[in-house]
Amino acid sequence: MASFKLPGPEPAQTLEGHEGAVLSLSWTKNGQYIMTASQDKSVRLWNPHSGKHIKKFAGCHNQEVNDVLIADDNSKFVSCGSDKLIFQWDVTSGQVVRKFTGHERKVNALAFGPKEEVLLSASHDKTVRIWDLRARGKGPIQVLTGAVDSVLCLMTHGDEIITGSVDGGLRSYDVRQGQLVTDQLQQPIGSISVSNDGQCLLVSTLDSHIHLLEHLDGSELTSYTGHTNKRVKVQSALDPTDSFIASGSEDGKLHFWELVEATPLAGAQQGHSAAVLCLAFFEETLVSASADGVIKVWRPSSGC
Amino acid sequence: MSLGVGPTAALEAVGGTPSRWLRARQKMKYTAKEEFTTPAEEKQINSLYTDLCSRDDEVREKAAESLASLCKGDRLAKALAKNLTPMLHGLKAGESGPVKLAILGALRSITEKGHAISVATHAYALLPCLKDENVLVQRKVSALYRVLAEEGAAAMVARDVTSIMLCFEVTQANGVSLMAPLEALSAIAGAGGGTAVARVVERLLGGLRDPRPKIRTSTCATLAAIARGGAKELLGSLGLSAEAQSDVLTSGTLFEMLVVVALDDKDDEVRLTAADALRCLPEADPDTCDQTRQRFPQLVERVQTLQKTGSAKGEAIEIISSAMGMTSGEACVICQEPLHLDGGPQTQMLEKLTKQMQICLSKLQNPELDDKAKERYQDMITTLKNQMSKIGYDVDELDDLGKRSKRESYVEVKRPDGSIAKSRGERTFYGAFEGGFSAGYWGTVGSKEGWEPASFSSSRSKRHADAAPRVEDYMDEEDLRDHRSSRKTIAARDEFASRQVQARGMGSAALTTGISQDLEEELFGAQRLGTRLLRASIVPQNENDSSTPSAPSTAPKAKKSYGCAPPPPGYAAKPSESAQPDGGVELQQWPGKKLATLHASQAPAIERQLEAELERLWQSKTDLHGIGYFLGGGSGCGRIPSNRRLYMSTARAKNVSSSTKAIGYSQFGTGVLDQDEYDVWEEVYEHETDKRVHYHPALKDEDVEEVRLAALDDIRPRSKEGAPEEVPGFVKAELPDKETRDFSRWHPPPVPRGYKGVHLIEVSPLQEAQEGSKEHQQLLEFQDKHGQQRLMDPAFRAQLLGEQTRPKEAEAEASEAKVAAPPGPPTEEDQQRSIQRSAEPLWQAVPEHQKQNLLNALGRNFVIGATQDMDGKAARHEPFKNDPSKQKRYAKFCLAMEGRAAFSEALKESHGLSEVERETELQEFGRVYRSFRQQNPDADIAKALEEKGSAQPSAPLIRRTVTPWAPDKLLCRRWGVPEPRPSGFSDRPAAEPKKQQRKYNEQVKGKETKKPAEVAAAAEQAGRKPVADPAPNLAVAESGELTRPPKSLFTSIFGDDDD
Repeated sequence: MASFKLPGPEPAQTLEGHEGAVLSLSWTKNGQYIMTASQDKSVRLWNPHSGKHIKKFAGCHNQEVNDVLIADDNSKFVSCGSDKLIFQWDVTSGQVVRKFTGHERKVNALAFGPKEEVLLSASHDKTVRIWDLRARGKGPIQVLTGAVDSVLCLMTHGDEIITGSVDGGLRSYDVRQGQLVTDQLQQPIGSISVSNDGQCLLVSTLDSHIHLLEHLDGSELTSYTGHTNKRVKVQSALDPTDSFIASGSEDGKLHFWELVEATPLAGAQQGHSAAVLCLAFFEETLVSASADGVIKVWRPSSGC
Repeated sequence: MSLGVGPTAALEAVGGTPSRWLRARQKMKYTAKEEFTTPAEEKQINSLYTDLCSRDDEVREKAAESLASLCKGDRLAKALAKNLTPMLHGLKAGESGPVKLAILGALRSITEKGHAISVATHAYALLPCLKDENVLVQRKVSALYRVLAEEGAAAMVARDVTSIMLCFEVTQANGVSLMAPLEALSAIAGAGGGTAVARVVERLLGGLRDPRPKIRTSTCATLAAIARGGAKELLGSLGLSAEAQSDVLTSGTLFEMLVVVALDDKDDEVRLTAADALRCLPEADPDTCDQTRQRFPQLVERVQTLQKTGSAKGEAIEIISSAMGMTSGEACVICQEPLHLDGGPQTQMLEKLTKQMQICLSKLQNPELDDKAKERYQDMITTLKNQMSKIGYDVDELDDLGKRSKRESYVEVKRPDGSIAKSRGERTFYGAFEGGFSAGYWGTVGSKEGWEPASFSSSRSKRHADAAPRVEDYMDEEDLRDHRSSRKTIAARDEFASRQVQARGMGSAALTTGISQDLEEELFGAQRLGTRLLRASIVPQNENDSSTPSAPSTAPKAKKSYGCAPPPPGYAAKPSESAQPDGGVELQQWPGKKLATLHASQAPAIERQLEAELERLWQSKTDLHGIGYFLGGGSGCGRIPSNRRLYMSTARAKNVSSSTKAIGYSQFGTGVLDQDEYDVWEEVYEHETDKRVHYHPALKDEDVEEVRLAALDDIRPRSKEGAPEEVPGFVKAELPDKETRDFSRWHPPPVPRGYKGVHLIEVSPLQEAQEGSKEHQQLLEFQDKHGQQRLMDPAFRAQLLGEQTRPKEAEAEASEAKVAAPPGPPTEEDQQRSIQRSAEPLWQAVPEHQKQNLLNALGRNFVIGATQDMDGKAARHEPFKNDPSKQKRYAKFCLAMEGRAAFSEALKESHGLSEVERETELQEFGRVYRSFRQQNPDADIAKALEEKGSAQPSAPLIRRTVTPWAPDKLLCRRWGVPEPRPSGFSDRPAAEPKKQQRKYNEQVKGKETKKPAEVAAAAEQAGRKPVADPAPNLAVAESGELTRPPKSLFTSIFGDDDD
């Protein structure tokens, strides 16, 4: 844990090109590239290491793209947007391979099932839909209708589908056991991530709190405050070694906390000039993107 | 080898035509600028023309010669060609030979200079020359014809073919047969007039009998030219006349004749040309030469003998034999004779060999064959092949026979998506995921020809003959048989009941005439109009029966009314009433009846009979078609109040009501002034024909109708008083609509409530559902109350979405509340702090009636209604909540009232309030406090406040519910997990959570070693919380026997660890 270093004070790269807020970003599995989904209706592929913009995928989404998800083999990716549509793209050709329709409102988040045989999508229509990626059925395999308000975030972990909704419900659907566990956090949930051991869930709520929850019983281990997150979905993440927590903030800063003590680390970095909406780690490299469309790549400073 | 002869001969016949023509054309191009003629030349030409008309033979001769010489120049030839008529004077019947020759020469020159068309238009002047006694003239004119044909005017001179032929015949008869006419014919035929020349082909055959070989040659050439010139089939089908047959050969076709000529003629050239000509005939077609051989066995025999003897006469025999498919190049391997083309040892041999080959091949297919045997079979096959090739059979072809046919039976075609398919309509397997086998044409329902199946015939262009169904259409064979034998016309019972009665009466009456009914029926067929007329004219019948319309029920019933509610109940029953003359309505007469009665008084009985019969027929007329009928019938629209005009737009109704405008439209077109307030196009769209079809005929435009009636006045038969002038047998068709005139009795169909006469766009079910839903209602209400931006507030969203308070939450809250002081004002304070925590049912613990009282005491600003949520909205309207400092002051006030704090302390801070404000506030505090105290005399406010203060910093409580959830079967499969049992989640081991908990604790403790203090607090919290949710563990504990052993046990046994 101690081996892991905080990102340095200055960004290693600044990627500019998006004409709208960057709403989601995703690393390829090998850590070579990132993809970002933006309000400007496009998805872009970048090389964060060299800082190059490689490709722009646009023309299909008619409204902002809310999430992007890259397949394991990096050949395809999936994007979802406020136009209620989900597209599966071919990375090299830039063509849409498949289109999933059925959501009645904008689609907020995406996740893959194990082996990428299913795709899950969380939507503003209060449902999570599960789509079959192996067969080309028309409709979804199943629609999860537990939430009473927009489902903002979604992740799968093991046999569980964990969703966070504006109604404050943190719902985990256990496919193996066939049960739904709902933790009522009383606050809209904007981000969920899981620790490496799968024991803890890091949940951002829209009351400027980030909670570390014991996954099994739903009890709160710690909560982290100091950042601002009241209005929009702001992503938080555990670092790859689970030693600290990073989160964006609506004030444009990047916040870091020590995992256990919940003490803010290294002060808050003034990373962006607009709200930091999403961030993602790959090993030591942290990529953050903000509402002004700027993506920044952070690496641990060589000094410390 | 032998084929070399033909084309050259052919070229000679048609020879050079195009090149010559082209040359002339080219010349024309160069001489185009020299079109003009000098005045001197014109003068000269004119004088020559006049000379040509002079009486002196010599002058004419000279003039003609001069003209001929003039025509040799290109420029003048053109000038002369413009006006040939004067020149043609020289060709008149009585003209002398030299003049004619000169003129013909001139014409030929003109023709050769490229003015064939202008010469050909005057070809009529050449006809007399063809009959000329002078052979030279005949030859010259024939030559001119040939040149004309060659120069491109063949089609124009083709009509003179008979004359040319005649010319030839005449010369032949005179013993000086000319070649020139034949050449002319062949030129015409060769230049495309083959069919025209073919008319005289029979006469042409006479040329074959000519003693001069040259004539025979050119005859043959002409025949060839005819065949090449497009009359090949015609010649082929030509049977020769008896005369020709008797002359030339026994059985008669041209082919035979030519063959005979080609074989027998003495002259080589004739033979060659004849052979060439016969090659042009359809019989010589190599594809059908087998048939030819069968048709002409004699010829075959002869050719064979000639071939055998080797006394073949040069090329001709070769041409013939090749034309008949009897080339002697190859000889049969078996008998060393020329090939046995129609059977013989060769074919037998071939059959035998083929059979052997087949046997060998089938043996080879046998898998149990050992290698040696296979080899032997292969050897056999090769020898067989050798033998077959020896008898002239293409072995390679045979080799490929099986395979190739298969390979070529389809063509592989690239489909649009890139895959390969076969294109002969076979069922192609696209793959299981692409829909299996192909169907239709390329997976469509169409065919190769298009989308219309062959059996399809459009009913638009080809209407079914009798669209109106007859009763017979609905009968099966048995019924039809009975029907035919009974010879009765089938009629609907009710409608025609009276008619049947009448017919029966007549049937019986027929007996009185002395003609048996059967005979009558046989003669006329039952129930024919003629029969009835006959009967009516013969039989003096009871007047009462026939002259009065039999019953009111005979009134036309099948009145057509589309798109409208059925006529009112009184409608059908009307006729009985209306039959009696009604003073008010003048048209309520039965014209037919009137007609009959009028006649009844004057005409003799027989006539009455006839009339009665006609009338009866008329009565049975149920439709509105025919003479004397208008679309729609009577007029009564004016009487409907405008609000009852269902199918009329208001603009139109207005138009109708104002009589001046209406006339303007229908009679004189749409004037500018007419367009006052109605839409012209509306009128157009509601055009008469359309309207009549869809709407009740009574609902129509009175004025328009009147105008039309007026227009038809003189054509229309007069009704009423004018009955005597009426066309007998036809009456004015006002009857059917008579009833509808009386609108005082007619009630319009009921209009559904809310009917606006406007087509409304249907609301989609989804939208409807959304609009009708509770949520939608709530949303609307909510937006009314709070406006749009409140939607973003989670608390308000919760309210809006009708989130239910969770029972467990309530319990927890209640337990907390029990610990704390009874609720009341402090609760509100608590509430204020927990604004961010939405939907906390703080009021749950307050008894219902108390709450109501309390709210009343607090005034109208507080939330009304016990079920109302107590979060956001209540907080917003609550004065204390809006003002935290005031809340604080109130707390202090409460403490002071409880005696826990000094009053002075409560009062000392004025917080910048004025005295008056402070006063009123205190009064308000007092009122609230008093009412609270009244309700909860025992409540310990101070304690509650303290408690609350201490409880505040604790972390928000996380509430957990566990419910069964059934993942989809497919989802489980995709997820790679077994389907959960329907019994739900109780079969999971209880140990696992604990185990994992332990794991985490260990982890945390690992950290604890480093930072003990902080983690201890966290761990303490973690340890404390699970108590809040004992549910899952409890469930597991209860089903003690059912629980499976812990997973670790499985893991230890099976060693599968997928964690």
